[in-house]
Amino acid sequence: MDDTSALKERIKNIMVENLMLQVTARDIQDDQALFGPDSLGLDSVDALQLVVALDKNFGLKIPDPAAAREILQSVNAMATAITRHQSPA
Amino acid sequence: MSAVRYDAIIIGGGPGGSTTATFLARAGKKVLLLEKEHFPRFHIGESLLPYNRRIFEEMGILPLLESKGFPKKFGAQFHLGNGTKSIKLVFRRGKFTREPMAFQVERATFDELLLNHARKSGTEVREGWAVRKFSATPDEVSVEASNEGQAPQSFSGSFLIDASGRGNLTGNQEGLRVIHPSLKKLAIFGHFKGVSLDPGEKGGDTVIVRLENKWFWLIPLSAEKVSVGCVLDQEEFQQMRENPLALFTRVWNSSPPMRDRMMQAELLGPIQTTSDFSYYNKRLIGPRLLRVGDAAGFMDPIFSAGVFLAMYSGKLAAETVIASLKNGSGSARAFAKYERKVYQAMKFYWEMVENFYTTPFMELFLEPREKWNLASAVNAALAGEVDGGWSMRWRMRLFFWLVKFQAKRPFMPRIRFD
Repeated sequence: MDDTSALKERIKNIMVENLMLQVTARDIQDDQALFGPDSLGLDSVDALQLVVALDKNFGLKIPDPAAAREILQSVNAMATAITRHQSPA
Repeated sequence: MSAVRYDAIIIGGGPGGSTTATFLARAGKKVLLLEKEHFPRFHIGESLLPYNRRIFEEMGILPLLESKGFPKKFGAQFHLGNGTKSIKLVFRRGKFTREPMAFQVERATFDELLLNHARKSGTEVREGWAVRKFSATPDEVSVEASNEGQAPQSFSGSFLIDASGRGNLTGNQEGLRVIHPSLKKLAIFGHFKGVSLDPGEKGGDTVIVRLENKWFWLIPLSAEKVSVGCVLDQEEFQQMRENPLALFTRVWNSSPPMRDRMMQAELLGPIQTTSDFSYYNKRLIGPRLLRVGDAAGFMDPIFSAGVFLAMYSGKLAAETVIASLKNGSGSARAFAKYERKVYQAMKFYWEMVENFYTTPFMELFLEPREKWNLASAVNAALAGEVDGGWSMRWRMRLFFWLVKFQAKRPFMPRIRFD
């Protein structure tokens, strides 16, 4: 059982479904940028929706825009933040 | 690679997938259903249509659903945001409406009941299995699916039903999805307690409050709990730069009919958001493939047709597969018929939705007239009468034509949103 890849797959499925992306979860790379040039091409409404969805699905609260920029960089970054949040050191 | 060859593989265990699976399994077919989540799980889309009942009955699940105490919806109410006008539609008063009542459901509960029913009917249901891609040859279909992040496995069968919902798996894989250019909405919603509803039978109604360019839904889910949501343009949301809860609260406070109902309301759980783009796939069929429910097309939820259309298409998909298994060479015609019927039902609500966002539509809709039984036709349409034949069709055409006429030369009083 691979927890990390299961988590990433779940994040991708939430993105495809909730943001109504035109790709499949399989098309999203773990380290692909979500915003900006050469990225998946998400916009600010998508960003806000991701903040709400991470809270709802994983209990991860993103307190401010700086933290959001950090966490919403890629699927990898979101997975790391969720794992850290769920297993406090 | 699994050695078993299924008659049908179904992607997704929502109402569309469960309906198809139940009809197929009850006909003795070998069915595999792959669902990526573990049920019960939250899902939006909590209001059903009266015509759902017929499908429940055929599936053999009606008595179970009736025993669960879901709130009963005998009608739907539409109010103008400023409180100046409203209409309370009652299904049993429509002359063409053959079903008087629908359920309001928490989808976590409802979808699980349906999925378990599919399982009990003989479907092999696997939860926690995400389908990643599909392929089809003239002889068979196969999907690659993984369970909780483990290495993917392949499953093959004679037919594939895509009921993957808004994830739109096969449509996205093939680049078939067309998004409506002007219906790019966002839904903000949550469950509340303490919402004030009408007394008696009308307390089960879906209540819609229409502001100039956004609208609210109120859907009672139990004696305590009401689902409340707001649908607005993504562009407007982007410009307001406000967090969803603040925006939600500010907007309902600006509308007297909403303010009255929400006076004592308390949020239960988190506020959620979801993109609400209306779309359809350019094809609803492929080689050995049928698309069902939201994986065929999705419409703005204003008329609550989503679950009904999913189950309507799910039932048709099962019939199409059964006919094709019996007579392989006859399947092209059966597939074409499936596509035509599902498009027809979808287009019908699509047109209603496009009209709903115009002011002339609301001007006629809020002043119903029984001339030529037009109000009855609209009533039946909102109850899920998609197979009403010619008598429904010409009335709906005339109704939409009158809306266009009203836009140019108003014959009904103009409404104001401020």
